[in-house]
Amino acid sequence: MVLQQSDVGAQFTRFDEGPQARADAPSGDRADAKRFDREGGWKARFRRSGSIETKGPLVIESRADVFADAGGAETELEAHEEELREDATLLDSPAGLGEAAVVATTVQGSAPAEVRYYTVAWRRGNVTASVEVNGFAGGLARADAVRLARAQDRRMERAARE
Amino acid sequence: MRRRRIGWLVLPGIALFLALGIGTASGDVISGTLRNNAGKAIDPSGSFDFRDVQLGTSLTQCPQAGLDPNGQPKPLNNNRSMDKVEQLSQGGDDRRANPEYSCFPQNEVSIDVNPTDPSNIMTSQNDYRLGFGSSGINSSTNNGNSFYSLIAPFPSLPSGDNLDGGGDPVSLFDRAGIAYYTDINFNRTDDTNGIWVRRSTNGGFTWTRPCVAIDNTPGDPTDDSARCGGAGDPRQPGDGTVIFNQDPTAGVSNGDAPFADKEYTAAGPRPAGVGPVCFGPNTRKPTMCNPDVVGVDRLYVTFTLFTATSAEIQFSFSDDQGRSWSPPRTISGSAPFCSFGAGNACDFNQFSVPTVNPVTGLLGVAFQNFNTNDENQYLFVRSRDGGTTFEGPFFITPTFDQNYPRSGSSRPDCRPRGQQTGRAVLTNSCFRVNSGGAVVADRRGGEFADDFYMVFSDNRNGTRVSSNSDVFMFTSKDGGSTWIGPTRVNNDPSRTPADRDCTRTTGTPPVVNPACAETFGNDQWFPWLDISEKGDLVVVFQDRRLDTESPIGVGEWPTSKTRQGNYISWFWGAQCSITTTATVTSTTTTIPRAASQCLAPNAAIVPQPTTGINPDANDLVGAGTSPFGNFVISDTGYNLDYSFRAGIFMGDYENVAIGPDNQAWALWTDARNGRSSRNQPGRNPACEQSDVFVDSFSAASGKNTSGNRAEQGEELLYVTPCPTENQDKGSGKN
Repeated sequence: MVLQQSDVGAQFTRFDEGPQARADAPSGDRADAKRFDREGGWKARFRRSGSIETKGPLVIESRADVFADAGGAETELEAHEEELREDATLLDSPAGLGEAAVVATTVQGSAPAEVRYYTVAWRRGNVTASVEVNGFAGGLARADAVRLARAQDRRMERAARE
Repeated sequence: MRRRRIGWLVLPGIALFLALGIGTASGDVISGTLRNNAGKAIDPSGSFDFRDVQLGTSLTQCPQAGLDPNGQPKPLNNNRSMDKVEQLSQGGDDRRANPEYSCFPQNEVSIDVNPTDPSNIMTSQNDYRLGFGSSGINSSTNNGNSFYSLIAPFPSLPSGDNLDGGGDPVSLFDRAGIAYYTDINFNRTDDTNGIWVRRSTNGGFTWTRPCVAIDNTPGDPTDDSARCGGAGDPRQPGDGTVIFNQDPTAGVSNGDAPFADKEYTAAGPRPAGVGPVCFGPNTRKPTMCNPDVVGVDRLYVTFTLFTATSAEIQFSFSDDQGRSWSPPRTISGSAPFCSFGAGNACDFNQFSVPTVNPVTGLLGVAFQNFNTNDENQYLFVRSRDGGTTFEGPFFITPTFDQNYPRSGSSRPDCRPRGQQTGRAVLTNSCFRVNSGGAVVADRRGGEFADDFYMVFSDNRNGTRVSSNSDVFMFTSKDGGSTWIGPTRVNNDPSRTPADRDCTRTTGTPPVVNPACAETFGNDQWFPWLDISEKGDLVVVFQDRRLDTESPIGVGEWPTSKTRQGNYISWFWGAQCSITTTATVTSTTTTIPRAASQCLAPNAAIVPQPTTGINPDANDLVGAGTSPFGNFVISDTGYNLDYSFRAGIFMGDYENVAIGPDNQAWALWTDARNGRSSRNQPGRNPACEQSDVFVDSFSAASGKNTSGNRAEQGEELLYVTPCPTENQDKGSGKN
C-alpha cells in the first residue's frame, strides 16, 4: 500500500522500505504506535541525484497506516492535519483522493536554493496514507506530489478490493 | 578579574506550579511519548532509538582506510582499487580502531589508557558489524598501532536468553590496570533491558560474561542463594549486573518496564575511612567482601532510569571489581531550580557522567536536567564518602538547546531521510545531536583536590534555521558548589544572534526571518575532556570550521544543504594548562588570578538560582575569545551524510583519555570510509558506514598537524560514489 519503484520511475533509488520502525514514529498525538487502535504501518523512501536545477522531487516518502476501523483512520488524519497546520500552509485538497485528503506545503532556505515541500495525506477506509516530497522550489509543483499520492491511492484501492 | 553576575529571567508561573506540587511527567520512553509538564521529551540513547534497524548483507568489501597495512590480516582478492578519497585518507597517522571488514557502521566511542602500561589502549563503540547494534571493544598493547577487536559478550539471563542489543559504550581502567567495559543491553522485541560491566585482566583481550543471577529460592526474598547458568557455571551470580529490568510481558514491546539508559562509569580510591562493601546477588544487601577480589578502586556507575513518570539519575558502586553492585538509587535530588517535579524533584534527566579525584576519592556527577520551562540546564552532585551520601544538586549552567533545528519542523528534509521527528539536528545535516558533555575531576590533590571541569555544547550562538553549535567549559574550584563560566573552547569565528529564538515572520506561506538565516559560525559538537596529572586540560570535539566553501544545494542530499560551508567535518582538539588554583565560592567577589587560568575574559561566577530559570533569548552569554589553543586531530575530513542510514546517526558522544605519560588519546566517529548509496537499491546499502579512529598527541602541547591536511580534495567528499565493484548486485545475487 506504499509507493513502489514502478510508481516513481527508474531514476529514483529506494533507500528504505518495510514496516515502520520506532524511529519513524511521528511526534505529538501520533507518537504512540498504538494510537487510535493503530495496527501497523509501512514506509518506502526514494531519492535521486540532483541539483538546484533539477525538476521534480528529489526525495519521496510514502507511508501507510492501518487502524482497527475507519474511525481510527479519521482521527489519525485529523491529527495529522493539525500538525501540518502548525508548520506548513494548507492548500486545496485534491478531488477524488480517498475519502478525505489534505495537502500542505512549506519552504526552507532562500533563493536560489529554496527547498519546497509538499505533503499529501488522506484516508481510505481504515487506512491512512501520506506522500511527502521535497525538491528545489523552482522545479517542484503540487501536481508532483498529488500524482504520486494518486498512484499510491490506486494501490490502496486495489488492496481494499482483494 | 572583575566579577560579573549573570541573572536569569524567572518565569512567574513557576512559583505557582511549585506551590501546588503539580506532578511530573507521563508517557514512556519506549514509545517516545514520555513528556514532562512543559511538553518536553528526552532523547533516549541512539543505539536504543534505532534498535530495530536491520542492516543488509556484509558480503560487500568497502573502503578500509586507516587499517594498519602491515599488521592486519587481509582477505583474498584484496586487489580492489582505491578511489581517490581512500587514497587521500589512508595517509597521515590516524589509525582505525575497529579492524573489521564489514561495511556496517561503528559510532559513539569511549577510550581509556592503562595507567600501569600506557601502551595498552582500550576503545569501544556502538557496533553494527553483526547486522544490528551491539557493543564492540578494541584493544591495543602496542601504542595503538594495531587493535584486536571483539563484540562484547552478551549478558546471560535467568530466562536463558542473551541480550544481544547493546550501546552506550564505556571503556575504563582502574588504577591496578584491570579493564572494565560497561554498556546498556536490551531486547529488540520486548522491553527487557539493563546495564552490565565486564572485566578484563589482560588489557581488554578477553572478558567476563555478565550474569543475571538465577535465584535458587525465588519464594524467599531474604535469601541470596543463586547461580549463573547451568551446572558448573563458574561465574559469580550477578557478576557484572548493575541493574536488570525484565519485561513483565515478555515478547511485547509496550513500555511496561523501566528502561536503564545512558550510563557512564568512573573508578577511584575509596575515600579515607570508607571500607569495601559487597552485595548479595538477589537482595543486594551488604555482605563481607572476598578479600581476594577487592578492587584497588571503587567502581561507580551512573545512569538514567526511565519510568512512566520520571527519568531520574541513579547510582551504583562496586568494590569487588564489578562482581557485585550496590542497589541502584536516585541521586538527582531536588532543588528550587527544578520545576514540575513533586517537591522540586530534579526527576527529568539524561547524560550523567561520574568522575573521581584519584587522590581524595571525591566523587562528582554532572548531568543534563530538563525540569525547566524552556532552556534546559546542567546540574552537579557530589559525594565525599564513596556514594553513601550526596550533596546537591548544584546548578552549573543553562544549556541553550531549545533552538536547534528540529527534524520534522524546522527541518522537514530530515524526516523522510529517516530521522525521528523532533530530534535536534545541525544545519546541512540530519544526524541527531545533543548538548551532552562530560565532567572530569582534577587529578591532583592538595589545593586542586576540589577542582572540577565540565564541557558541553549548545546552540546559543545559532538559530533554529542556521545552527552554530559551540563548545563551552565551566569549572568549579570549591568541590562543585560554585561554577565559573562560560568559556568558549573552540576559537573559530562565532557571533551571537540578536535573537537566538527567531523563526518565522508572518505571511502566506510563512517566510523565514532573514536575520535567522545568517551564518553565525560553523558547528562544533560532541565534546569530551580529560586532564593530566600535570594539569593539562584537553578537550576534543567534532568540528566543521574548515569547510567554508561547500556550495548550497550540493552534497549527498542536495535539499538538506541550505547553507554554504559547514558540511564536511573534522575532529579537533583544544588544550589549556592549569598550573594554579584558588578556592572560589558563591561569596567570592573577584575571581582570583590563581583561579583564572583557562577562563574566558567574561567568564563569571554562576549564582545558584532560587527558582526555575528561563534565560532571555537575547542574553549575550555566547561568544567571546577562547583561551584554548585549538588544533585539528583528524588528518582528513569526512562526510557524515555517509555515517549511518542516510546520515541520521553518528553516535551521541566522542572521547579522549590522557595516559600516565601525558599522551592524550582522541577517539572519534569518522565517515571517511563511507560512500554514497544513491545508486544502490536496498534498505541499508553497503557503502554507508562510519568507523572509529584514534590518534594521540601531547597533552601539554596539542597536536602538530601531519600527513594529509583537510584542504586536499575536500570537494571529493561532497559526493563520493560507492565504487562499482563494491555495490550490491541486487537481491539474491550477492
